[in-house]
Amino acid sequence: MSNLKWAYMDHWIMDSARGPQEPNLSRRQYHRYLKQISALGFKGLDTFIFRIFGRYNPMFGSPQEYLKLLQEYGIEKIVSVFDCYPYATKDRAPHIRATHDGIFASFSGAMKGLDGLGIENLIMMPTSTYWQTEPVTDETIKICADLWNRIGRMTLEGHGVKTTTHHEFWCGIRSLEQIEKFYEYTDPRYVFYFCDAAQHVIAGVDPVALYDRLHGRCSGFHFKDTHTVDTRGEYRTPPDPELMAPSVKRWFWEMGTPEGLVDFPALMRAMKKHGYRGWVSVEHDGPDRTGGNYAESTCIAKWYIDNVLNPIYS
Amino acid sequence: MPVKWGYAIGQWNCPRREQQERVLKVMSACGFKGVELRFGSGRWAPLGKRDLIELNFGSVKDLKGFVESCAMQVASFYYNPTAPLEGEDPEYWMGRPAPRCALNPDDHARTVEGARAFASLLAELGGTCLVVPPVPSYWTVGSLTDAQIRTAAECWNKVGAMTQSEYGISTALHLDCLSALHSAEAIDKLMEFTDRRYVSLALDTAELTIAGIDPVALYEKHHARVGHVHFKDTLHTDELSEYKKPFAEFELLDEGGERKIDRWFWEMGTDGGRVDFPALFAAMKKHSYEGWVIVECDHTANPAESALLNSWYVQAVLSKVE
Repeated sequence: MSNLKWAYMDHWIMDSARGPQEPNLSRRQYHRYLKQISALGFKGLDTFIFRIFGRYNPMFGSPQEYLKLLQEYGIEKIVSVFDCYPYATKDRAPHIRATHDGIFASFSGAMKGLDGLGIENLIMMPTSTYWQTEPVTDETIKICADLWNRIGRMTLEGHGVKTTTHHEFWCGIRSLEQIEKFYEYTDPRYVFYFCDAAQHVIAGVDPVALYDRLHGRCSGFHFKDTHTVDTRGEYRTPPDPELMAPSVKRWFWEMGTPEGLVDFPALMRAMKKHGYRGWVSVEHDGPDRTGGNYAESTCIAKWYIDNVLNPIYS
Repeated sequence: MPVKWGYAIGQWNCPRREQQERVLKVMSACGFKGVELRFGSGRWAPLGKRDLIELNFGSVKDLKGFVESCAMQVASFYYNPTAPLEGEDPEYWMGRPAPRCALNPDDHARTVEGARAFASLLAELGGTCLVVPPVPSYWTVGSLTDAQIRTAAECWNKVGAMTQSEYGISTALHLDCLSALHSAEAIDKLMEFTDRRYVSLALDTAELTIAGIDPVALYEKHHARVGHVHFKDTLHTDELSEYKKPFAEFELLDEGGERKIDRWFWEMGTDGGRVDFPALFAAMKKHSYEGWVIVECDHTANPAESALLNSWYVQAVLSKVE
């Protein structure tokens, strides 16, 4: 019995009669997509809440029918759903306490709609963009922690889903000090840690060391790589550092490129040491930004799993 | 011994080493174990022949090690002796065929030597099958008489004896959709006139289907002679017999012929595909086919996507064929 099961994080662009499009352009496109994920042996899928309700629901009839389709292709389940408030607004901003009731109500409704799917994690970015959140004080982090404690209790006790936080390099809780403070302020019963290796490396945080410290609260991984540490402070670029940083067109790369900065073998050794059992998700949003394509990048990542990572821990 | 699955590299344009590495890793991740290389010449074909391999990798042994470092092996090599090679054949600049045509007895010695270069290369790479077109396109030579087929067979018997006895490499004759051997009856003649000890048939599903030849029936008839297989699909047949028209390689396959068909070759499992792969694979299992099945998808816009779709079909459909 394997300790690890591999999932794929739902980013993909593919050729269509309308040029490059997401697979959810049509059911026919989507079947082509699922064949490709299935061919590589992924058994789980991570996706977005907005995509389930906004696109998969009309395409396939209901979230449950969508899950059945995944299972026809050998994908056992939707492991995690991701959501965030990338841009702070007057109604949705985790660092503004006055917006918390609205955020809580949104997630309460969403979780009811996702009941019965067997989803394990609600992955959240804990704040909006850094430039909208700063100055990031202890009080700012405390306000955010209060929100996620409240939501985490609701998702776990009400729906059996762990709320787990994922620290984008451009969000308000990104440095080692901020992250440690956040987990100090959050309740370990209700708020878990989600390790996105590339995001941490870009932010100058060692994901292996961080996982070592937080392994008891870790509920999953996004295995993606990066070629760039943000030494110029571009995480503060308004309006959107991921998309519009002046010096970096593409932050995220598939595992297995020579320029990759994440030490995945070391991370696997740490996971083995701590006896991690569960899902690991492959992610690499953005290969098309530099002339590549998702099919090729996903194959390269899977080759890396088969030939480099599995011999370390599987 | 189960079927060995491989993939053809011809769909990719990959002059740089890191591109070649990614291509091989894509094939490996898709579950394919062997790669079919394709002859070529000039600076855009670094894997196309011995001197280019040595220029790019240092030695043939280094290329073999590179392929193996990607968890792949070389399975086979496709070589067309009549295609002129840049830097070797004066015909190259004129667009004329090189004088290595099996239909011409005077060319036989040169054809044997041309094949020797690739058989020896393939042996050093650890491959097993040299894949060659036995005769030129129909439009260049017209329909063949029995005597012409016999002449071609004599040439390939010599080539096959050489590759087998000197290098341990099998020679498989690959019939494409433009071939002057354009009927099941002509293929029967080719098989009759060639020596089964040295020469086998490379069965290409889409090429035969476009030519109006049923690959399943052909396999059932000649299964004992089939030594190599190419799996790809097509949505069309050459119903207008446009293979007879001048420059059919361009006019039919690239320009699309009178029906303006943009793409002839497709992944297995494509809606409307003409090839009955489950029936063929069942026949191959029945007759205990042993050898490489090379999957390919010329004409694709995205070779990695095609490799994944083909991989899915192998795993989800063909692996369940009884």
